Amino acid sequence: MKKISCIVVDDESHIRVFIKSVLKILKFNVSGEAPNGEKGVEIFEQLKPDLVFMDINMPVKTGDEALKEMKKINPFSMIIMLTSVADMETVEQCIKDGADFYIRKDTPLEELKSIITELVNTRFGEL
Amino acid sequence: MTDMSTTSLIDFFELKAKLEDKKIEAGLLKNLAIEYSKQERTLFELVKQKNYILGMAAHDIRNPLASIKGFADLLQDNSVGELNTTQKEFVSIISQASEDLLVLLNELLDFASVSKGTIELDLRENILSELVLERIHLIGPLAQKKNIEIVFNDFSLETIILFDRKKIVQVIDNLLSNALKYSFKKTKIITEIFYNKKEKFIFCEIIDSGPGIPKGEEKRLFGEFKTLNVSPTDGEKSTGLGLAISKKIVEAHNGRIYGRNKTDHTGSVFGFCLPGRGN
Repeated sequence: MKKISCIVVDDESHIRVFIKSVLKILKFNVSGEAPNGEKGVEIFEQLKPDLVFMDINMPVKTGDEALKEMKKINPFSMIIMLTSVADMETVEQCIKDGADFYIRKDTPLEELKSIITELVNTRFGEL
Repeated sequence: MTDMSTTSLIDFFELKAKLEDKKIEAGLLKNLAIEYSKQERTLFELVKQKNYILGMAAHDIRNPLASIKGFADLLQDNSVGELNTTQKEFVSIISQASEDLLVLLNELLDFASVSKGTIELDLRENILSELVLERIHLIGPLAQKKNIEIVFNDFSLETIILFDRKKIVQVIDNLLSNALKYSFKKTKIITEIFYNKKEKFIFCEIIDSGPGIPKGEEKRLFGEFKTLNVSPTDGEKSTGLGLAISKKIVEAHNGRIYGRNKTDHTGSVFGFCLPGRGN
């Protein structure tokens, strides 16, 4: 079976490393990462991932801007916004703009793993 | 005749002097009022700035802290290799300490948010008793850890009222977690919901079996950063912000929050009330 390919877009490197570690444990293929929305859109176009984990508040290009561009390039990619409490107002707009889900960055590990697994199973079928 | 004229003249000058004094007093009062209003404006701006900085600081510390906790948990669940006993103990301390800090930061963020000014409420029709029961179920595992039974009595006949669900969840969670923190092990917490027909208010009261509120500290309960001279019964943490946040939320609903000792001094009663329909 084809492994689910993912990219992680976040300006904080420790968050990228953490999400990548969780995705690797879940046996996903992390094909790329980017520190801002602009680079994120670039690797999205190149790598054509099934799944994107993306922060909202980033320099150069914000996550909500990058989301719209990614959805134009490939509306079938699953995009999950990584959020903090302060982003909650923007989250609603992101969902309207096509984001598939949002996950708070302080979600406990076990909950995080089960949310990702459930979302992916619903979209791509049981892994 | 001369004497009378002199007296009138003296009266006149005395009156004039008094009037002058009054004018000076009025001028001083006016200046004081202007100064007071300026200082009040400055204070308001400073409080706004303080809350903004508090919010920003809490937010910027939060993400790295969430990562520290996340990595500690990754190490703990052995997904990246087995740890020895001492390593496990240290990692568990890192995880617990970062969890405690996250709770504190979340409360700081909540406090900064509710202190910004008017709280925006998303008022919808809700049943308070249903929400309280839901929150009791969610806090159940924590109660089990201390062997505490949470009893739920609903006398409100599922009355529908208007409130902001998310914000009232914060209030209920705060009161329930306080009751758990301060109750002794193997005791009961009683939660009661009732409708006061006279006042047209729905009440939610949480009665714990803890040490109660220390004498003279009743008035400090809902102040900011106020922790009392009484400690949680099992080493739990308390930031002293939860009740202050709850008070602001309840008052934004035109409700009331209160705390008192049980009449037999075997614990305390914390509660809040929200206006019923037609109130």
